[in-house]
Amino acid sequence: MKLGSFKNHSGDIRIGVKLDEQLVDLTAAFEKYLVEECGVNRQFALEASNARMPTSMLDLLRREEEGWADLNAVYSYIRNAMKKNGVLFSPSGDKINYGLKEVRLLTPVPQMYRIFNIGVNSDAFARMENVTPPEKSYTCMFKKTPHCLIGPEDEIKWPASADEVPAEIELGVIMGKSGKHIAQADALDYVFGYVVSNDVTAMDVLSKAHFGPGSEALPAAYYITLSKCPDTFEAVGPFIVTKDEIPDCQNVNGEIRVNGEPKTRGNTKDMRVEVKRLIEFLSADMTFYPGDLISSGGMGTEEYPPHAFLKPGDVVEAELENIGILRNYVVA
Amino acid sequence: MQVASFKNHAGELCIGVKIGDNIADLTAGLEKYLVEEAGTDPECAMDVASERMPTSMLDLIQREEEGQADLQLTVAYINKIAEKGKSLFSPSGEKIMYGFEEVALLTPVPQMYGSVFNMEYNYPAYEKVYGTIPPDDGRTAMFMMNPETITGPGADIKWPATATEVTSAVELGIIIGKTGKHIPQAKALDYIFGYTVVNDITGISMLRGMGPGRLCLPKAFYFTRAMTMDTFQPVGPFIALKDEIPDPQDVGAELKVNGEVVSKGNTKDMRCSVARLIEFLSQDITLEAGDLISTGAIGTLEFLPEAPVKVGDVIEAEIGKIGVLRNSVVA
Repeated sequence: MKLGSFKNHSGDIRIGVKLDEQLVDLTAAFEKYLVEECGVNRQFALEASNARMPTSMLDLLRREEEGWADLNAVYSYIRNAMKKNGVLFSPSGDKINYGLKEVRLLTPVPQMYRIFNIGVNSDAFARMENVTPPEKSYTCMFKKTPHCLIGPEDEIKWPASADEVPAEIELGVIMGKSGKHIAQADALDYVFGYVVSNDVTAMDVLSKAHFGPGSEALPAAYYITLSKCPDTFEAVGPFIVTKDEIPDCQNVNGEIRVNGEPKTRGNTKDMRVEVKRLIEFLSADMTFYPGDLISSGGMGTEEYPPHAFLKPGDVVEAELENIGILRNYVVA
Repeated sequence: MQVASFKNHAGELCIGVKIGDNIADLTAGLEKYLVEEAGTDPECAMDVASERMPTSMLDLIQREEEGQADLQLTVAYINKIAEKGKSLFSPSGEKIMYGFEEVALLTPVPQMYGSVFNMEYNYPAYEKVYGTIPPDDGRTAMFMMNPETITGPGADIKWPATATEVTSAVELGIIIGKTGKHIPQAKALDYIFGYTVVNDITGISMLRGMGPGRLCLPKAFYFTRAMTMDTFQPVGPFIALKDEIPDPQDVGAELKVNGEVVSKGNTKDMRCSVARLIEFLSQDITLEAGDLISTGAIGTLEFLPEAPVKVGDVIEAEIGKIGVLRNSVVA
């Protein structure tokens, strides 16, 4: 399933699933499913649907296994229902299916506030940036603010603090279950799905930092979070692809195109620390919650390096094979 | 004025203000004010009070200037009627005044879901004691915590699985009261709701031995990882509003472990002042009402900014006008 959030014609935030070139409003579809398949009284169906298939993606993810079961039930129901009819409506009169161009797609989890980004997670990255990588099976993690998060077609705003601003293509992992002390062997059970993540950096915040003698580089490390956190610097979307569609998350091709030209290319098989070990490492002392995002680090190769530099006016497309294309506009 | 979140005798989440040795329920206090002083119909006074003085501290803070004006008015009224003590009730029958023994204090903003910024190396004692390379002038090291890392007074600090050494530090916390960006230093204090005590716990062994290497030294990669461990950010017990702390650059603080003073200092020694931190962070980051900025570990050459702690220890982080934040370290 490809799941997203969108604004409907009345400007309300809703959740949807992509079916061919249409987007199905899941809450409205679930209301219809309850009445027509489960014999729920029309009077209560809307309320039950809002509780079980909430219009907030974060609230749906927080229902964990129960939400997943409801999602599968409504998905198979609506796929059949759409074979027969054109436009469907819920019992209370909400439109169910939209053409993709009729709605404004948002980032899939607009309510998200726990964003964990991984740094220096490919050897190519460490070599090219002349950075000492973290120790074996350890990684660099920093956080982004809720104001960093933007969605498809949104604008990346040029920061006040930098002249050099690269984009990075990363496999985003959306957590689907709370947990702590998660072993590698179980780690993928905690994953809900995958998403395209474009991790943008105000590079000069790092590169113009003072370098002293001795362990000279330390000050730059102080500003990693700052350099990553300007508003609009984490583009995520367009859809969450549920993990059943991605059998091996360590073999996904990625590319960044700036104004149509490929700048960065890579594959998740080159990750220094794999997704399952990232989850183990981070959860050893910190609880994960459903809806958490782990952006697993910039991909790249010697030929197509991890940093794709941007300037105002650029159109940047971040693409992950079988997951989607995330397009954003850089504005001054 | 010192405000807090607490659970009352019925287990309901409330917001309150410290009145001498008691704590007054602000929502119930405003309800009484509305009926007795503003001529509001008692039938709707509770609804109006819940809107204007919500039981969620975050909701109150997000009302920005209007919420702060209602807070001033409510507290002035409660002070006026305070001599009636514990016999005070709101028109709908809610108890207004509680003794501290009757309530459970929580972290002041339990609903926090926004940004939690922790500053590091913001006192010169660091470079002198630990040989740390200081951040550049006018800048400081910043890392972000998870809101879920925050706990309140009395909460346990859980010993982590992946660190062998853990430290505690007392810091002045700023609660942002107004959403803004590109905030100049001269206006920065207008964006503050109040101040609180933060006990910044770190799994410091993860950072030991920052070796050589250009740009980013391996150990420095783990700052966020070492600080976002569950329960590692006690905050509270009160938020002191600006009337209590007119000058945030002259605030004394102290950290005690098992009753012994281990850290001690004054915010006048900060490398980046509170006003500069707000300017520095808000250059490209929107600061939102309810966000927390913890301004860095306070200490001197004599009373160091970080203190090692172990299982069984009782830690008290104290800032005079705000209160004592007491937590225990458990296995």
